[in-house]
Amino acid sequence: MTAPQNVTRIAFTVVAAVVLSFLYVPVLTLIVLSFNDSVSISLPWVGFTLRWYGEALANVGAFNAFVNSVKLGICVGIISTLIGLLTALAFRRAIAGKSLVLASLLIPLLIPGIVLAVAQAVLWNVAGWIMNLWTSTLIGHLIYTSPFAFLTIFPRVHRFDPNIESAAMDLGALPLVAFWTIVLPQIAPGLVASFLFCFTLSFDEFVRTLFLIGSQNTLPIYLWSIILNNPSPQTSAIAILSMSFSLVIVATGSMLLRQRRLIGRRSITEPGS
Amino acid sequence: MTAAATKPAEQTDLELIGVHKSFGIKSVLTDINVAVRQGEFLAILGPSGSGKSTLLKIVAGFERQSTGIVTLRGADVSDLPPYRRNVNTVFQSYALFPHMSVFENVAYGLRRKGVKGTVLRTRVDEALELVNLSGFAERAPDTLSGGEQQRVAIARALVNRPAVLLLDEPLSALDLKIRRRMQQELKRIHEDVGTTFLYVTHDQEEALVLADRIAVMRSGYCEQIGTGAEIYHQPATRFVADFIGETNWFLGVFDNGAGIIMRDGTRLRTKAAHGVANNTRVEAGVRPERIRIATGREPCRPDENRISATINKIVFQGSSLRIEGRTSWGDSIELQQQIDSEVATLAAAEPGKSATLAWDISATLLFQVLDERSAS
Repeated sequence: MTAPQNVTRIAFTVVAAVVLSFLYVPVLTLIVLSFNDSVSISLPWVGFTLRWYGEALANVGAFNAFVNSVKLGICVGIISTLIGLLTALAFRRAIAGKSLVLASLLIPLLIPGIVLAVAQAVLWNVAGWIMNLWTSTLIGHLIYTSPFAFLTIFPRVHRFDPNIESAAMDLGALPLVAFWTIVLPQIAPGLVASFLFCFTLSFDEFVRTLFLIGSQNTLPIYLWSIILNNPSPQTSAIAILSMSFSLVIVATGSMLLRQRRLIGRRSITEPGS
Repeated sequence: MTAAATKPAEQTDLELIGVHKSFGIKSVLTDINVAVRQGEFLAILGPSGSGKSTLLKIVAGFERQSTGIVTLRGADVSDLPPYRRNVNTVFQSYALFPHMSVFENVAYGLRRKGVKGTVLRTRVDEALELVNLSGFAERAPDTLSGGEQQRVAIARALVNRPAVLLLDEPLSALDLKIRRRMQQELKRIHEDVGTTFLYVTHDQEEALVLADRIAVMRSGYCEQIGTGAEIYHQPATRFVADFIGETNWFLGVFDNGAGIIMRDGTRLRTKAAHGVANNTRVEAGVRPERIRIATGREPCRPDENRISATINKIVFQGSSLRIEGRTSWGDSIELQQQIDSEVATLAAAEPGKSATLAWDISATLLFQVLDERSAS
């Protein structure tokens, strides 16, 4: 009886360990090497140093690229969340050609990133438009992230009982007031999640950016260029810093979500005014 | 029909005049004419798909009738959106605002009208008191039981002092015991506030218990409006008779002089014969509790129908017995007998034995077999 169960458990443990190793051993290696006092990103271990982090933080090129990435990520997060929200709201109604619209929205997910990137780069070149961070790159990122925004928001909007909105209007709320006071607070977690998701997608995006950025830099592009030209452990320090930033964003986001829920509770116990 | 001709202004809170509604080619409501008096508790009763919920949505303003007029206290509100109509709805799913306290839920409508401060607090407290939920103000809706949520929904609607309170199957999500208690509660609230209630339900018992009058709906038509007693004792259609209470039906031929002739020649007399053409196929009906077992010795009364039947089965149901049998012309028949009726009549009924069954002539329902609609 217990023998097969044990075998199963051991098998699960082994598989889990292998999967986790594949996921995290490279990152751990990178972290370790970023503290190695050696001029190349490799073993042997020479000694512990914070030099590479010091250089990374003092690197103006990296800093500018990081600022570009953050600004772009925020814009992409906000705009694609708005697009996702409006689409999700529209999909609550019976609209003509719903499945066709849905398909055309989600197809960008199935097209390889490089294909879409090349296609867009060709279009911008043919049209003679200026390619930079706020034109081709922003649009390229939005095409990529908006389906994810929709997929994140739609389940929340869909689960929302439309009678609750009707009840607000029944009680005298104009449609916009009903949306603002009743619908929005209910779907807000979905919006926050969508923003964080799209921000991270944009922040990490490489292939599309490479083809569409023109002469500017985002952090992944900057990393790519220094790896090609002049790899040093500073590169891994920048990579680790950028990854930590992403983690902090996601952690802050989920903490905000939890806090919002707590505030909701508190206003229930203290409904003043 | 014009609005002016049918409007006794002070007494009517809500009136639907010639209301039709169709979605595409599908007709959902056909020629609905209902006038709800001030302070009345009117139940809209019908099976699912009868159009009763659409009717409620039209009154609330969530749907617009295709043709016809809806008036509230004499004013045509046909083109007003829900937030401009002086009606409030208690939704079947309660539709409480989950991110707001009970207090804020109830205060929502008043806040939209700009009511503030102590006036707001007093009115919300009064509304919560009305539904026996004082002390629940600070609670979150998801910490309440179904019955409590229901009462919050009622308070949230009534606090706005609507001309008409619309209730869309408000008790259907509750279990039987709480449903019974909420029925009493609703009745008391209605008496306390005196607001006109328009109550949609598919539960005939609920309609009978609660409503002053009942409108019976069927596939978009309003088949009959009347008090519970009227609808029970003088159903306007075969459908109404079937939907409210139980009825034994016998197919026969109507004969002007003799009454209804059954297949074996048995005659049933009726008082409901006016308008029925001679020699047409009809259905005669009688409620199970109107039938009694006549003992052989008692003299035949002139105002009674008498038939002979075979008793098949007697089922003990606590305070009453259900007796199943077969009439002399072969239809099955059921009757309901109170346990306390004379021992003699009960003794007369024994499975396998034949018995004489009797009922008042006035208890004989009669419907012409006209078409699909009235025959099915």
